[in-house]
Amino acid sequence: MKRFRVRAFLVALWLFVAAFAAQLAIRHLLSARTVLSPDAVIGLSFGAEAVAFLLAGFLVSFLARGFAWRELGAAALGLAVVAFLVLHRMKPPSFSYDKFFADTRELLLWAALTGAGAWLLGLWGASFGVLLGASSSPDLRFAFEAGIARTHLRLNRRTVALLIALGLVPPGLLFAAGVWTRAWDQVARARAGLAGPPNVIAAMRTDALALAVSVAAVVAALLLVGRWVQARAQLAHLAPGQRRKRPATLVMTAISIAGVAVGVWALTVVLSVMSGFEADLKKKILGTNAHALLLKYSSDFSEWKAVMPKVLSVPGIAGASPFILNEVILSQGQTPTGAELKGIDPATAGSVNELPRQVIAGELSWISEPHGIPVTAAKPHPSARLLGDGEQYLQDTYERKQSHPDELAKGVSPEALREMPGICIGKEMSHSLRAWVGDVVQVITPLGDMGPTGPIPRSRSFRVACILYSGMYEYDSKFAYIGIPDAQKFFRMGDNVTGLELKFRDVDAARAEGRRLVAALGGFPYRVKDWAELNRNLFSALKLEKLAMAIILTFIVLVACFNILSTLIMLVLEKTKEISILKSMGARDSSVMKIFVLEGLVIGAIGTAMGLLLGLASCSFIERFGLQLDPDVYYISNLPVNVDGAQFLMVAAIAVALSYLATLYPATKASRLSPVDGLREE
Amino acid sequence: MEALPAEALPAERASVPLLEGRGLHKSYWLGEKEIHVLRGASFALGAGEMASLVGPSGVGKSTFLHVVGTLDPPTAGTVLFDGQDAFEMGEEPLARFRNRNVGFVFQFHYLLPEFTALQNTAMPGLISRMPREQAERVAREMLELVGLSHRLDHRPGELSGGEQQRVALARALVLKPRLLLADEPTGNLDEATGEGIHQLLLDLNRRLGIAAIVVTHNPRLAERMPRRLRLHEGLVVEA
Repeated sequence: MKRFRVRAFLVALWLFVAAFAAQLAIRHLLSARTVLSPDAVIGLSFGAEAVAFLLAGFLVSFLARGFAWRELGAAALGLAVVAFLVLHRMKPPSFSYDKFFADTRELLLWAALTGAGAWLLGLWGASFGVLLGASSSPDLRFAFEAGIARTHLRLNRRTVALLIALGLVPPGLLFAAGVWTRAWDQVARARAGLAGPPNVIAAMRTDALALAVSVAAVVAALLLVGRWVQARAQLAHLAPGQRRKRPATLVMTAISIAGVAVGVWALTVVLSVMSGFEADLKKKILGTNAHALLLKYSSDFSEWKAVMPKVLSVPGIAGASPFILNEVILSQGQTPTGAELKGIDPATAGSVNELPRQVIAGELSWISEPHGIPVTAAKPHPSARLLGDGEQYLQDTYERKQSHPDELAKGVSPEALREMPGICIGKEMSHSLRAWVGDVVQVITPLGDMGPTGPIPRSRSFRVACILYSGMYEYDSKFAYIGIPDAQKFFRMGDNVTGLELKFRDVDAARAEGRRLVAALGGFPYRVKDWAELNRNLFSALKLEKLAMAIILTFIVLVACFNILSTLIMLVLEKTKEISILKSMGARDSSVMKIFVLEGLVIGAIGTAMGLLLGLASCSFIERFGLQLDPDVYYISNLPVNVDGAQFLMVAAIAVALSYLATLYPATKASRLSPVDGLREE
Repeated sequence: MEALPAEALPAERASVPLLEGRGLHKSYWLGEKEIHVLRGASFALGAGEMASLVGPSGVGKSTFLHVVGTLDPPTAGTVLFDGQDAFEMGEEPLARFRNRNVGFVFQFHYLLPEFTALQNTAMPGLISRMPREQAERVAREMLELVGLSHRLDHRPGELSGGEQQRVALARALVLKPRLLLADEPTGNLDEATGEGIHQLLLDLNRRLGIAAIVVTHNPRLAERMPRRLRLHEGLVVEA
């Protein structure tokens, strides 16, 4: 038993407390001086703290000449006490929803977690130290260790070629399958007369590289299978003694690589699909809603006409449009439905959202020019593409309305019709109200005049000017749009609007741009709510779901790393004699450790690379193949994927870090073997 | 290849033996039973001196070699190299010491099966962080010295027993250690091949001035050594 090194303990304690203090300081500074989101602030400050713990462990390993688990543990305990006392004085907000300040029990938990985190990360850092020769003089070289690790893994030219082939061919085939389904789909569309042959040829030309790659993948796969068959045939001719025996550890190595590859594959594909959902949702939300709203803390926003040019002159603002928002009831005949009635300016609305591009029948501009609304049934736009049976619905409704022209605006005189203002409604609302372009709908607001028996709801007739389709069920069933002057008149608002809708040049900088705009307008009473704030619950639910998925799937990688662990233990047992020989020749403990750490890292890295390629190929396949979803449930026709490079890198880093951790136990065991352990036998 | 001149040793150390064992005890626990292999063995070996060690099987000759070769710490007693306690050095200096000063040859060649003769012989050089070219150059020279310049790129599996043992000898001597410890180097070979190895050992001792302890069952080899030691009841006695 080594003695407890007080100096190492004191240095560790000092570094741990400094790291904790740095975390608090960074968090405070970032949240006070920058406009980073709370998540980013927490991520940055805790990330810095984690790196500091790692470095502290690394340094202390040199002072304690080893893993220093007792010294680091005592220091972590000390840190937990310090953290508790500091947090107790600071009274941080609670993480649970039913309390405002964290109570003692919660603080104890935080302090304990801080201590445990410091200990584990410190040990992790110390492992780097030990590996680099912390137990005596540092030694960063690993040339002969790498050579020995290579022979253990049988990484000769042949196996490397085989690994590359096995790593490239399955993803290549998956990619090829995707490319060919799309090509086949295009040919089928051309046959059905949906696209002319020139279009098909053009589409194929853009996919020429993909087609070439997929052909190469298939050829490579055939070559590989051919080579395998040939090898089998040769093997059959060999006498049993001539066959080279494969050690069990080599098979286990292959299984470990496959395990890591499968884990990384699953993780990347699931995260890419979740990102796809998120990106799709974001696109749809930002298609209907603006990036942010400029609001006032009072209800008298009458100076908006003067504010508009000021807003547009702020750099980073791409568009602005006034709006009025109120809740109403819409009805046609006997069918009522609740709705969010939004007053918009059709001329500028297109600069902040995608409304003009969501029109599937009629015209958005007709809400301010109701004379243009046709008296006969309006045809749906030929370019409108809808999900599932949506297209059929459009066609059917149009045909029904055409065959029963008297149904349109029944019982209203043509003069009254011409005076009626226009309204645009979503596709789902048009469905439930059975209203088509040209139909008359009643808009009822409960904010009516006072009558003798109490408030009387006020109602007004509007003619449907257009039908919109955003792809979000909620928006298509809840939103209705009228012109600003009509809304002001209907809600008796005078010259006021609810606020301005804004569009930024950079969506992701919405928060920062919003703050800049408020500052440019002189601050109070103006305020900006960005899209992330407006849809916080939706996005935070998605983020939580993604995090939970990532954690669950990381367990697959973790299990795969246990494979690496057991493989390396087997390998250490198999190579005991070799370790002894190396030690008798003067190999250091850290050299022996390096050999097995390198092996584990190589297994992890090969598995990770294979998994990433498979993940990439799967994403490409999903994207091209277009996996069908039930549009009534998901409101998305195909499974979305979004390949995010940073996410792939993150997964790779997690997998390699976990495989490194898996090597530590067997490598340490191997390094501590006595030189005579392997020499005694025989 | 010249012999190391005796003057190369510092003058004040000339009186200190190269290797000295003082009161070496070594015992193993076999379940509940303690087996005493060495019971206070003491001996000294001068620089360049060559000794044979004989004794019946199971008397602890290998254990003795492991202890004096710093592979296995004794239960009690000290191993002095140049008058310095080897097991007080700490892990890494001890490893470097073994790398530079002690060469081992075992009964079974214990070559790394995946590497060629040249790579096996270059391994101690690589472990001492020599550049690869230099390590391979000295390895080639040493293989030439043991008469294997035509077998550089053969793996141990492709060599005969005598050749394997000669590679092991080359590997043990490649960094010109001051002490060679050989554990029945010819125990596994036929008489003629064994004789060749014996000749080589004596020859190398003469040419390189390396001190050696050779454990052997072969009385003829033992006869030819300048000094003969016997392990008897856990003690080293002059035969």
